[in-house]
Amino acid sequence: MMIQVKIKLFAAYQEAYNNQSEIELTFPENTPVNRILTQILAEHPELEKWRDVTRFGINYQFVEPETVLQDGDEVVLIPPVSGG
Amino acid sequence: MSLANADQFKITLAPLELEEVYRLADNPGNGAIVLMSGTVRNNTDGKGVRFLEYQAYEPMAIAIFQNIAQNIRREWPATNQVIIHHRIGRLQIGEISVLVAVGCPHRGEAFAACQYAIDTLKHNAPIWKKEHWVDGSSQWVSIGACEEDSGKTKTPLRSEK
Repeated sequence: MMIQVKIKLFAAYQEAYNNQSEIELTFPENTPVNRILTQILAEHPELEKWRDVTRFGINYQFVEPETVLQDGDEVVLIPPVSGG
Repeated sequence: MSLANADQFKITLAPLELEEVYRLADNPGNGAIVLMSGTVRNNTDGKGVRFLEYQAYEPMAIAIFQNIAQNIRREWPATNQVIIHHRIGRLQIGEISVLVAVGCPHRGEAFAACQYAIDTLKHNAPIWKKEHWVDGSSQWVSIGACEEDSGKTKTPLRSEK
């Protein structure tokens, strides 16, 4: 059984994906959200500097990196924010 | 009893309106409205800035604004209104990027709540700005320059993480 999640991309992540604002990825069940970051950094090594400073959101709430993905989740990778 | 539904949150491409935000914060029960206006500065540490570009993950940013208002009502229960408007897109020097207004019976709680709101927004709202410098280069702001500013003053509540 596989699950599909939508990943919203912003700032450096969005630019690494040719300004796409979202992508969809498929994972096995029981995959933690930080596995998404691992995969994205493997595809885009130039994003490595953001690895340790990126937070995760699922369905509009901050979550811990170990949080298990559910089918249909809307995930966001949150590099350091700079609003205001 | 404060009405939480008097709060209002917005993320918009359109220029922010000082008078609109003030009016939304207005309430006969207020003795004070503290309104914070964040503006686009022409330099960062002396390096000339030409313009800024803001992006937001809108639904989550609005959810964070709602969390901020809930925390304000817990810490300062007499608060009448919390208004947060944030602009996105391309902003020129001097333009307003964010307006936060808090209306309370007394100025002390209004100042404290407004400072808590803007500090927490800067730490947690999924909003990003890219600095476009006069030399033609550009970069997403990556280190918490703003956090250093706000670090000088204590926020009374822990941020949401």
